[in-house]
Amino acid sequence: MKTRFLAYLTCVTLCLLGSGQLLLAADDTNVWGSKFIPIPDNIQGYGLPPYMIQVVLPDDTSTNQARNVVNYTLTDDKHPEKVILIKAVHLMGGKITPKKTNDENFPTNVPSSSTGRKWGGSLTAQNAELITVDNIDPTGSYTLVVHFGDTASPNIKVAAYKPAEPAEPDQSQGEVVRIFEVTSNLLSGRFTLTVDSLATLDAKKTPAFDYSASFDLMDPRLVPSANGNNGWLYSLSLASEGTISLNSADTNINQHLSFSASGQGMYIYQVKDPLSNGELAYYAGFRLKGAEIESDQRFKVVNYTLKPEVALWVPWSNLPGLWWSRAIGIEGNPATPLCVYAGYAYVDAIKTDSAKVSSSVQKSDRLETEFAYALPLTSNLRVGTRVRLFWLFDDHSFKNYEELYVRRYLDAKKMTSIEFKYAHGEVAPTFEKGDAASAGFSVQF
Amino acid sequence: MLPNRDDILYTVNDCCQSIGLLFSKPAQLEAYPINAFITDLENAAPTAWKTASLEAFSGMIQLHCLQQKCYIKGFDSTWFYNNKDKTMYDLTVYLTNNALDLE
Repeated sequence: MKTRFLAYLTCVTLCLLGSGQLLLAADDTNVWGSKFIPIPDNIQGYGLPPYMIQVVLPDDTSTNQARNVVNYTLTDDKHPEKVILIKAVHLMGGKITPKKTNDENFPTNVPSSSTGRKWGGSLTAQNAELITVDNIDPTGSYTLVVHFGDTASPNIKVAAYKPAEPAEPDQSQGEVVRIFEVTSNLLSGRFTLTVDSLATLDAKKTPAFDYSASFDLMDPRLVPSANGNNGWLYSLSLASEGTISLNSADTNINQHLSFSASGQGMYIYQVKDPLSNGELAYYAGFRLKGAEIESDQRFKVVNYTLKPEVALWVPWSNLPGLWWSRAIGIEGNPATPLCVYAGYAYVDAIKTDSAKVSSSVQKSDRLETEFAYALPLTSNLRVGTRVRLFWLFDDHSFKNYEELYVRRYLDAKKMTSIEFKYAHGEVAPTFEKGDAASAGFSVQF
Repeated sequence: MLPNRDDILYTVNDCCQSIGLLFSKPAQLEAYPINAFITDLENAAPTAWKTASLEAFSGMIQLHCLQQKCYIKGFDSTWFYNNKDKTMYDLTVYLTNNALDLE
């Protein structure tokens, strides 16, 4: 019996560690709690009893104490002389769904974690445990006590199990979303796809969409510096991105596709904020796109390119936005720094179409620079600009692209927004001239 | 050291402040939608390297956690793209529940 019981505990522990699917939701974490719950579907079939007991520890239980439970004693209220002793088992990886924070201010007298505030270390991450016991009636009346060596919990009433109503099937997600989620899970969550539609107010112009997909060949690796304030972030990935018009003959949309493999390193660092006691974070990164194919959407103009690139946030360039944000009390609208980018592209034309772009322009190695800057005007209003410059060395020419946008969030939760954008200029690989003013409306459900 | 959720909440707030994203109340930070956050940070990144700013931000969160001898298992900028319909509250829950103690 004892051997079988220990086997149960081992099975439950291993299954929960392996699956990571079970949520140990604590309704009220400030008091002791306990209730019968059925064994979840994903760990059935290991000879486990059909029910187990969830024990919720109070918030002020320390991590060390919670991890040093010696045993539990369970008493049937109808037969108090029979005490069931249960050996402790600790389930790591238990999940919580904490209550949202009350509408209080952030404490102003607490230095930031980067300047020395130490974490509390009290337990809330694993504040619930599961125990199993054989031959027990989950609808009965039981009392549980948790023993921590010298101390013990008060008597905890174990709430009886009440079968729930059958749940309605989840219809909230579309089939496409579900297929994507399954695909992403199969790839260990390292595949990312985003699609954004573009529409112009001018009915003569056709709709289009931007897409971006990436797959991490290795998990990003972070190497902190000696003082821990700064660090290098390395990664390897495959990516594809582009803009596609539903009418590929429409020259008002700068249609392009690219597929690439790249390796990158990024240095993340912090500097003192001269306007407050805090710190400001910036980065400087390099990336080598070792194998990139760029094309128009009909694959009539196709280039192979090799691109070393650098990108950085210019230190203190967001001070004007920060000063303005603090002066008028802007919240939830970031004063991001000026972003500067430079990339050299070695171009080898695979497929040319002189009707779309002259071969001298297409084959030309180029240097590209880009500047992106945005300012918060109010908590819901944002204005930004982006300038891209191209030097085509073989063609001895210069191309440029400019973009100006204004985004207005229409609700406090930023679920709905309207964006006006003016774009002018030419981008690789076709360098067709584009000139479009557009308005987009975004609603998040 | 394992963080409690207040530790994570203040850490995320510190990281937001360090990129100029200010909140006066924890509840406002928790309600801030991930989708808007992605849009704003992509606007502060190069066209050819849209994810750069988000990568830096997620790296910054990991750096703050490492300072407290803790690491967030499996967390990087991909989390934001896989959770566009969530809020910063969900980020704090994810970070709390996936923290690994390095002590």
